[in-house]
Amino acid sequence: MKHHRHLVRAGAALIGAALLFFVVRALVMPKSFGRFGHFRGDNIAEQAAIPAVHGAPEACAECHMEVAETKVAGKHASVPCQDCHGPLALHITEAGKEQMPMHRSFTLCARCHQQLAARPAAFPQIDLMEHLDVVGAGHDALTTNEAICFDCHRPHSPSPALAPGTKTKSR
Amino acid sequence: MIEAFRYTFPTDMMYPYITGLVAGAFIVSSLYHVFHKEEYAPIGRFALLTSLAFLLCATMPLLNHLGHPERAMNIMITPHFTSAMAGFGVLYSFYLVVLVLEVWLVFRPDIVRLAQTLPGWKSLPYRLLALGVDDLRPETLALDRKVITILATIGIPAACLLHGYVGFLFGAIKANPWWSTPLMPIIFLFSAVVSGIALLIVLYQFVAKVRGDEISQPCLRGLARWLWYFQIQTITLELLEIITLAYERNEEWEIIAPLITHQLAFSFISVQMILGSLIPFILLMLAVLLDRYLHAKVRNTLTFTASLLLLIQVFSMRWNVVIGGQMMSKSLRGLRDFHPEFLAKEGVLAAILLFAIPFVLLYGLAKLLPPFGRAHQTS
Ligand code: HEC
Ligand code: HEC
Ligand code: HEC
Repeated sequence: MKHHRHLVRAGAALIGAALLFFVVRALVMPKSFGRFGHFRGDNIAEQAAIPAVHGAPEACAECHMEVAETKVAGKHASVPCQDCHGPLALHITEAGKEQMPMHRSFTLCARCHQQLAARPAAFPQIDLMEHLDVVGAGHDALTTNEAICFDCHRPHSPSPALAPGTKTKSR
Repeated sequence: MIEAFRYTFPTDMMYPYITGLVAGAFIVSSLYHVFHKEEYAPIGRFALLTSLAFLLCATMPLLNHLGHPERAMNIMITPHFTSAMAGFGVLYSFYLVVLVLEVWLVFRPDIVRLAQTLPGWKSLPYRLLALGVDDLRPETLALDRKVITILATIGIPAACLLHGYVGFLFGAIKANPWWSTPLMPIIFLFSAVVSGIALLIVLYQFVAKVRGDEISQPCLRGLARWLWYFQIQTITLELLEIITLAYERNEEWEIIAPLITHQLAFSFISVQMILGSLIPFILLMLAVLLDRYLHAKVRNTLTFTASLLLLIQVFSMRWNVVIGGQMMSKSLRGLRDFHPEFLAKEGVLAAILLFAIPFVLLYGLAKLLPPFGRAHQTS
């Protein structure tokens, strides 16, 4: 009698597993895979069908000329409106004009100005708590007044800072 | 309050650690199954099961990291061979097949015996595993032994590739100067062997204690030698890498020097180099050089302690590589710090649980296929 019956059976099991793999592969692989390259071809159409939500950078100025001019004259000239505000599509919809969400919080400013070693040294960065202590607002303000930064900084032209309370318009 | 900035993931670094244990445990089993070193007979089979248990869990930390773990299968179904990760998938599967076959053949005599002796449904898994063949004649077993040697021989380069590959995944990230060195795969491989041997020494002594068995001193003596040898290689390579970087003083040294002396001061200098390298080096030196004069108890304690420390060393090395590489700015501007969370999806608790799974699995495997006892006559 032969001595390798169990080995042959194990080999058969392996080949069976490999066949199963290819059957499963054929079943689960998307039909359009490989049509244009090593990816699902249908994905191109799916991506193209996603509506664009952001407007062109100048689009906002069509209505908000005043704000745009303030911004261009100030330190935030290079910061696009939609970096701080929502995308244009939330504001101007098929149905008409909607309220633009407003991010009145220090976390907005922290996104760019929180001190981080990886930022260019020349970029204005602050330790939020320390800054508030230095300018006299006190670091407790972060917990009591989310909009603390706007007491002194106009978001569209943040520098020079104004004395608290003297600011009349947000721009 | 402002949320801390988080980019780093503690469970991620469990992946190279666990894969390392796979490769290391396999190398130990090969000492017996390929090189037929009789002194390793007591752990030859246990080492195989350890390797299998850890291999089955090796990808879990990565899957936990992914937002869509089910998509991981995509790299197997539609592999792209320019992708390092897809290559890893292929290598992993190949090694898994080799390992499962080897485990099956090594344990076949027990499987057949259990299939015949166990009553009723209890014998079912064994009858399935026996594939309906109960042939245990000496010629058949001799053939099995030959095939085992061949499988284990293929397994050694496969295990080395598997883990060298993990190092390669890091070493090939050219944007990260802390990772990007051709030494990386080799360092990973050697430290993998260290962690594997150390794990087996710890587990072997633990299991022997629990079972009330005597710890085989020739086996432990041999393992201690190998451990010492591989640890010396590992530390040498790790130091060489740093020394080269320090001596060349390329621009990346500007960032790596503060990284290892500030951010990683504790985990690199104190843990990886002193607690994890220097102390076990001395302990193992005592165990190896004074071997003739040592009482078994002293040898057990020396090797056990050194092994635990080396397990910590390799862990901290993985930590320093994986976490360290993410703490520095890739444009070399500065460093950030990292505070692992306890309860997060990839927090400390998740890492501990993930690391516990292979041990539970090993316990289960050892219940299914008892690796101790009749070990010597079967393979
Ligand atoms: C640095 C972030 C930032 C940028 C850039 C920015 N905004 Fe604002 N904007 C704000 C914040 C914050 C408020 C709310 C201020 C407040 O309530 O005190 C605001 C308020 C407004 C308001 C309502 C209040 C007002 O002043 O009438 C309008 C309109 C507006 N922004 C338009 C724009 C336009 C148009 C641009 C681009 C030209 C722009 N913003 C760019 C942060 C920004
Ligand atoms: C999208 C990123 C971004 C956000 C959000 C942002 N800023 Fe700025 N900020 C900038 C940039 C860019 C500059 C110009 C830096 C330069 O001149 O190099 C700047 C400049 C400034 C300056 C002038 C610094 C100087 O050089 O004197 C102040 C003050 C300032 N920002 C405050 C704020 C405040 C307050 C907020 C929150 C409403 C805020 N910024 C939000 C990007 C941002
Ligand atoms: C009590 C008033 C006050 C408040 C509140 C305040 N700042 Fe300022 N900030 C100042 C003054 C004054 C300066 C100095 C220079 C200037 O006028 O731009 C300044 C400067 C800055 C600068 C530029 C720093 C540099 O290195 O150039 C940034 C950025 C800034 N503030 C961000 C913030 C943010 C973010 C907040 C909210 C957490 C905040 N500030 C709240 C008064 C204030």
